[in-house]
Amino acid sequence: MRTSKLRAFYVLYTCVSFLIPKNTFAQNTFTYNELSSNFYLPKKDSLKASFKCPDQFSKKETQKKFKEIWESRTAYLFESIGNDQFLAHPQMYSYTYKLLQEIISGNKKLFPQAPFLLIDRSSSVNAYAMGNNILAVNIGLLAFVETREELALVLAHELAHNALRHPENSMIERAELLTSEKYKKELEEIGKSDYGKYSKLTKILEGYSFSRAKHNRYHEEEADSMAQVLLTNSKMAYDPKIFLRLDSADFTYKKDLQKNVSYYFTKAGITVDELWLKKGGRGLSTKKYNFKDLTLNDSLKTHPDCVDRYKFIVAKAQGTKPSETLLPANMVNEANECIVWWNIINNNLTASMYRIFLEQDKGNNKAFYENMASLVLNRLYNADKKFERFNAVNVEKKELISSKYFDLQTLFEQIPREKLEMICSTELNKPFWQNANADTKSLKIILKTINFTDPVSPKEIKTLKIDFQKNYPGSPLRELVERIL
Amino acid sequence: MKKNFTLLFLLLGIHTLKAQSRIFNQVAEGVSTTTKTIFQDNAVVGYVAFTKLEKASKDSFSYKLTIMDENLNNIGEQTMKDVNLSLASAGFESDVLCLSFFSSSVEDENFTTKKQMRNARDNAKNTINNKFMTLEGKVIKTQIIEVDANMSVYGLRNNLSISSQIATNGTVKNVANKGFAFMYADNNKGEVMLYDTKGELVWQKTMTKYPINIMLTNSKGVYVLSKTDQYNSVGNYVLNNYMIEDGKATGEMPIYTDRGVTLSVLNFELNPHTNNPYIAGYMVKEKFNNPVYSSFSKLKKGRIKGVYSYTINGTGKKDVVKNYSFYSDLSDTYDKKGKKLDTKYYTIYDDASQDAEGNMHFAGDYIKRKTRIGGTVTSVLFAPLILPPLIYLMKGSGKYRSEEGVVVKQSTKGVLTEERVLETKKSRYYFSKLPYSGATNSYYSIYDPNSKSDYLIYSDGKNNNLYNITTKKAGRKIPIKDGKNYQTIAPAKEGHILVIENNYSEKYTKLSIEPI
Repeated sequence: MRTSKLRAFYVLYTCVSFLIPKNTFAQNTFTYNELSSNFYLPKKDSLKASFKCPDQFSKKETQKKFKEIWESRTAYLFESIGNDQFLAHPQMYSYTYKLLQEIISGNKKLFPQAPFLLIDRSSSVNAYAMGNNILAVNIGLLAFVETREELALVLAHELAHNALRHPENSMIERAELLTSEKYKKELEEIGKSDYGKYSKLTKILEGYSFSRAKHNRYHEEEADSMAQVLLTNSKMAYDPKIFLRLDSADFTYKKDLQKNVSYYFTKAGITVDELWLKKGGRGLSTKKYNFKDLTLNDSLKTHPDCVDRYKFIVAKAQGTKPSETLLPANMVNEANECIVWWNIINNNLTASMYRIFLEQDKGNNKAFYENMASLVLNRLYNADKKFERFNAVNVEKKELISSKYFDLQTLFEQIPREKLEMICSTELNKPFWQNANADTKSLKIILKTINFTDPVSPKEIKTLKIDFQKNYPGSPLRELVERIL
Repeated sequence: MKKNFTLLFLLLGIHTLKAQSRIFNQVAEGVSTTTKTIFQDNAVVGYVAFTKLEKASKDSFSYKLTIMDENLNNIGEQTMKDVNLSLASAGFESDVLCLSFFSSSVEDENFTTKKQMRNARDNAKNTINNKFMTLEGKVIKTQIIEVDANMSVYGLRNNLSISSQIATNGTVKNVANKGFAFMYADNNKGEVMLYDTKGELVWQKTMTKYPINIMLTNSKGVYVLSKTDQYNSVGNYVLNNYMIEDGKATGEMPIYTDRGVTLSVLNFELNPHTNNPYIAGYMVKEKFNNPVYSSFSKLKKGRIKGVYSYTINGTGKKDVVKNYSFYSDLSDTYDKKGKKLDTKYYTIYDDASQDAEGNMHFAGDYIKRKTRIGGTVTSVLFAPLILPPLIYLMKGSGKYRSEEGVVVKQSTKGVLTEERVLETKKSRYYFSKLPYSGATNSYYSIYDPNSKSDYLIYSDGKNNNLYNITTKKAGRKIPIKDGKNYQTIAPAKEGHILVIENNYSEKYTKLSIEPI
C-alpha cells in the first residue's frame, strides 16, 4: 500500500518537475545566511549563556571535571556550528520542528520548552540528543525515512533521551568515574608497575567503555518505551518499521547502481575508456585478505538489536496499525540535494557522484544533478591540479562499497589528467550553464578561471571572491566559492 | 614523541585530564612506531606499521602490526608478544609477507652499574628474526639467525644503555614465483639466502664482510653490490651475483677500469623495462678519489673524467656490458677536464636511469665558475698584512654556483649528448676550495608503467619538478612551500607519487597519492 502511494506520488512529482523552470541549485532550497556559522554564531553569546554548566556536585574536584566535560561538549557544538555542520534549512527545520511541537503538546509537563533543534548536514542516518534540551536531526535521516510516522518515532525517542537526562547523566557518570578513588588507585598502580602499563590502562578503559555501552543500551530501551508513551499522549501515529531498515541505513554506497558506471557518463556525453575502470598496478588492495568482522562485538554495541527494538515497540502498541503519511517529496528531494552538495563542499567527490547516479536511477533527471555532476568533475580536476586528487576521490576499501562504487572510484583515480581537463572544459560549455541563474553563471567563470587559466594571480582570486560575495550575498553557491578560492 | 602521543590518544580514545596525564605520558613514552614500505618486484604494494606498545615482561614486549594497502587503507591489524624487535625490511610474494626484524636482548634496557652493563653485553643475544605471514595475519614460519652485532655503550655513570647494530640490516626482496631473497652483514660476515614462500630455506651463501651492501633481485639472480671501503674512496665497489636456482656464486667482480679512474656509483637499480640491474655513475681521477677532494677547484682540475654504466644481463661475468664515456674521447663537446666547450659549464651528476634501449640518462647540475674579483683585489691590496691573502687562498680564487639542471644521455655506444637543460632556481655562489657533497639540486627517477615512461623528479629548493625522460616533455611543478605548507615527494604505488604536505604551524601532515 505504502509503496504504491509512494510510487504514485513520485510519478506525479516527476511529471510536475518537467513544468518547473530548470533552475540550478538551491534557489528554492536554502540561502548562504542559513549556514550555521551565519545563522547561529551571531547569537553565540545568548546560546552560550543557555548552555551554562549547572552545579551538580558539592565535591570541588568532581564538579571541576564535570564542568570540563560539559564545556568540551559545548566547545564541540560551537566548533561544528562554525564549520557549517548545521543548516537552518527552512523546510526541513519547520517540518521537523512542527512534528516535535506536536509531540510536546501532549506532554507539556515533561517539556515546558521546545528543544533547540539543529539540522545536521551529515548523510548518516541518525538523530541525536545532546542534553540541555538540544536535539539534532541529520539530513541523512530526513532523506531516509519514508513516512511522518517513522520520523515521529525517531524524534520522540530523542526527546525521551533529553527528558530522561541521558546525555547529562552520561557526563555526570564520567566525571564521577574519572575522579573516583578506585580509578585513581588503579592509575596509580599502573604508574608503579614495571611491565604491561599499556595493557592495564587499556583494560580499565575497556571496562569503562563496556559499562558505558551497557548503560547506553539500557538507555536506548528506556527511550524507546518512553517514546511510545510520548506519542500516545500526543495521540500521534508512529511506525516502528523504521527499526527494521536501520541496520542497512548507513550502507548507501553498498547499494549497486542499475547500470554500469560508463552508462551514466555516456548519458552525459562523456566517453569512458574501459581502461580507466580497470584497476592498474599491483597492490594489496587487490588481494584477498581476511578483514576484521565489521559488526561490533555485542558487548560494545550502544544500541539494542534493531529487530528486537521493532518487536518491543510492536508488542507494546497492542496491534494498532499506524497510518502512513509520506514525507513531503520536495523535502526528501532537497535532503538528497543537500547531501550531494555537502559532499562536494567537503571534497568527497566519489560519494557525491555516486548519489547523483543513484538519483538518476530513480528517474530523477533534474537539471540540478546535471549541474552537480559537472561541478564534481571540475572539482576533481581542480583537486588534481592542487595534488589533492587522492583525498578528493577518498578511496574506500572494496569490502565497504558496491562493485559499481569501486568502479567509479577507480575511474576517478585513473582518468588521465589530459582527458579530465578536456571533459571539464566540455562540461563548462554545456547548455545548462547558459540557462542557469546569474550566480551559477558566475560560478562557471570562477571554475573556468581556476581550472583553465595558468597561473591565476592571488589578486585575481581575491577579486573573484569579493565580486561573488558582493553580487550574490545570499547565494548558497557562495559556500563553494569560499572553499575553492 | 608528539606523534606517539597523538597515536596513544587514538588508541585509547579518551581525553587525558591533568590528574591522569602522568600515567598517560608514561604509557605514551613507551609507544613507538616504525613504518616500512612493502615492495614487490620493485613496486610499492603496501605499507606496514610496527608499533611497540609496551614492555610486557622482563624479556617480552607487546606489539601491534598494521598492514596497509597501497592506498594507505588499513587492511589488517594484529597484536603480538615477542622479544625486543625492530622492523628492518618488508617484502611480498605469492600472498605471503616476509618481515625482517632485528632483535637485541640489551636494547631498551637501562643499567645502573658498569658491571651490570658488562654482564648484559657479554651475554647479549642479537638475532635477525624473519617472519613469514599470510594476509590473514598468521605467522607461518619464523627464521632466526644469530648475528654478531656491534654494541656501543652510552649514557651516564648510573644510567647506562647499550645500542646494538650490524653493518647491514636485513634486506628482503621478493623473487617472482620463488620466494624471498635475504641479505645482511654483521661484524664477521655477510650472508645471502633464498627462502621459499613457506619460509623454508632454499639456499644460503656466505659473502665477504663489507661495510656497505645493497641487494637487487630478478628472476635470474640475486645481485649484491658492496663497497669495500666506507670512507677513504668514492669508489671501491664490488659486485657479487648468485644464481636463483642454487645460489651458485659467479665470483666477485670489482667495479673498476684500468684507465686510471675510480668508479663512483650513483645508481644500482633494476631497469624497469628489462628487469635487468644496472650500475651507473661517474669516473673520478685516481688522484682525487678521496671524498675530501670533492671541491670545485678539483672539479676544475679534471676530477671527474666522464660517466659509465654497467648493464647486468645475467649472473655471469660475461653478462655484464660495460660502457665508458671519457670526456677526453668527446673533444668536440668537452675539454679533457670536463668543461663544456660552448657554455664553459662543468657538470655534477646526481642521478642516472636506464631506458628500454639501454641508453643511460644522467641528471645533475650545470656549474658555472666565476673569478672572485673583489677577493682578488682585496688580497692584492692587503698583501703586506699576510692574513687577508691567507684567507683568500684558503677559499680559492674562484666561486661557483649551480646555474641550471641538465639531463645528459649516454648512448649504448658511449656518446654523450645534452638531452635537456632543466630550468632550476640558481644557487648562491660557493667558494671553490670548500668541499661539496653533491649537486645543489636533488634528482631521482621513477617509472610509470601506465605510460611506459621514465620520469625524472628534480627539486631546486623552490619546486619539485617532473620531467618525462621518454617523451622529453616537462611535467608538473609541485611547489615545495605552498602558503604555510611544505610539500615533499616520495615514491608511491605504480604510476603515482606520494605528496607529503607538512603544516608546521598547525602541526599536521597530509598524505596524498597522486598520479604522475
